Amino acid sequence: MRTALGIVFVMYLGLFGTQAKAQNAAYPNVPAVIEARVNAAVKDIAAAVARKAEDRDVAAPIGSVWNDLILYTFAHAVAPDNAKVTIRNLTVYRYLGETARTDKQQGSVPAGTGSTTLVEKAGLTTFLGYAIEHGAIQESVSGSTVTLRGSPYGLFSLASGGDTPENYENYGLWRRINGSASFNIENPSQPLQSVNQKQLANYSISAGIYGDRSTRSKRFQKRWKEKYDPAIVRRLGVLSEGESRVFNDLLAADPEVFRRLRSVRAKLEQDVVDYCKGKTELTDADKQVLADKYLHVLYDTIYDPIRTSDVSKKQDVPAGVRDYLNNTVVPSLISAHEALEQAQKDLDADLAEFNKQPLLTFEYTNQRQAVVSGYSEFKLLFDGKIAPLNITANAGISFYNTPNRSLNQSKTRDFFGSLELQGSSKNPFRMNLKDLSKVTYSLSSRLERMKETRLNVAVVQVKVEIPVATALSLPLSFSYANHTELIKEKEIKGHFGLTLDLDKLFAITRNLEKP
Amino acid sequence: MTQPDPLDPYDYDVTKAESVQFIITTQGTAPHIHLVLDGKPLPPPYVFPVTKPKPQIHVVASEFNFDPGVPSSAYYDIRLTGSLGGNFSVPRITPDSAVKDPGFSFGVIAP
Repeated sequence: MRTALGIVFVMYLGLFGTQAKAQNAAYPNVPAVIEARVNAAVKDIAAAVARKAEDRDVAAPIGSVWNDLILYTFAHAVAPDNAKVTIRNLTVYRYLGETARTDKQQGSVPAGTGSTTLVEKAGLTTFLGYAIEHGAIQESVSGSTVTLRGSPYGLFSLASGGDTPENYENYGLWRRINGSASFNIENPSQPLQSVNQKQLANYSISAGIYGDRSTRSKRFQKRWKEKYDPAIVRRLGVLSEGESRVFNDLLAADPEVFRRLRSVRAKLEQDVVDYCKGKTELTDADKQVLADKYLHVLYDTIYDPIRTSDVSKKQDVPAGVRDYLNNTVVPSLISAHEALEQAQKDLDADLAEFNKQPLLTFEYTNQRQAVVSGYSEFKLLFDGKIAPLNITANAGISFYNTPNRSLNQSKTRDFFGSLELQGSSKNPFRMNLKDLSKVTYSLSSRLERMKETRLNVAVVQVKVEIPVATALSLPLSFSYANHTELIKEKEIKGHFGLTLDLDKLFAITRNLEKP
Repeated sequence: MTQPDPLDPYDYDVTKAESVQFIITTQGTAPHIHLVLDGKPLPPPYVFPVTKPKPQIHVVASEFNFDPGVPSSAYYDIRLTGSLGGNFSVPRITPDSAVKDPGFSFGVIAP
């Protein structure tokens, strides 16, 4: 019996940065919500420049946020100096779902893998390029392998209007079948040219038997409509009603006000188009120049004329508009944003719960190995939750494609099964009541019988991870194996270490820096 | 319906009693489309009559959300048509768009 004790130190390094907050010269004391809106428009301008869009599409983002910025700037300008609730209290809006789960649905693969003998190669490459461009097939390159993923649904919908909500509904069965194929790349500059039978490394087909975790499923859509749509509509309602009433009241007091604003906006749009002319991408400095141009316009045209003490430049805002902005629009917007922030948290929790629905999948994989014998694997995979534990279980059997009798291989290669149980509980070492960190624990086991070696291999691992301080945790694990692949001996291993999560640490630091 | 500023596809001139329709094509996501006209939700088929007198303005706030995790090839294409003429397109909204809630204004110019 051998024993081993290892020490593992794991550090999660992430991209992080500190944001020095300086006074904006174009619009001193600019509210965060105005700056964020301008930056969003500039980001879309940069994207339009990068895709070499027409002048209209380069300038369009200015107009897309114009109404909101006019409203926000008026609200900022008319806020009393001693007001406790102003547009400055309005948090920057994040679209629901944008920060939520980012893992993509399991991709699928064109069913026609390995069928290149039936299709002319040039035609296949053209077709693949078209299908990838239209999202019917996903391509990923990793090292010297190109992998294509897709589903019959992607191909069927490609021929009938694309991935529309109607096709998604009509071709439900085909959505449950996915496949992927990996090819060894011959020419790194043209990975798709390697898509042929000779370069095929492996392919797999999977079929969902039970469960649907797609956020496009009827069940999730129903929840979204009932729970999240009202919060979105509430904010839009405040904005559109506020803008409609404020703009029309301003027009009643000064019928020329919007003609003047349109003229200023048109000048800004042309200015932006001229600035971007000839550029193929915008640097950060370019984006700042454009953001400053926008902020200058808002400050010089709206904020300063309302706030100035210079009577010759002073612009009056009707008392009714001031009261409406200060007492109705701004408090309602703040309240609507708070509701959306809560909705975002609820959505994250809903998605986490949704992602634990039972899922049963059948998977077939064909490993085509040049050096050792290739084999086919049939697996059933189960993933679900039986409170309080998450359960993952696999069982399968594999067969050699062409058994090598000299290596003692028969048609059946092996049988295998695995089970993992995961759970978490309150951290007994937590620093304070706000500390929500949890102790996580898991038990995993795998049983395998290799026919040619006649070995039954059993491996069991127990792992516990205990948070000991902010962003710092202590993982402990013990594993037991009755054999290893090379040695017919029992093996017991123990590991412990420290995990420092720098992303979490700097997220906390950034939050502390916020005013 | 006309577009007075050729560089701004979010600002239109309309005539009283004219009908304006948003025609929206969805790809790669469930349709999370929200249009709100002057404070009131505008349901499918996203049509509204111009009811305000000259020189007032109708405002439509919109938002186009995507299901979490959709591919970047998903999109919304938006076109606007007026019953007295005019057919305009708005830049495509994708999961990568920074602005997914453009605001539209419709200034009444006649009668």
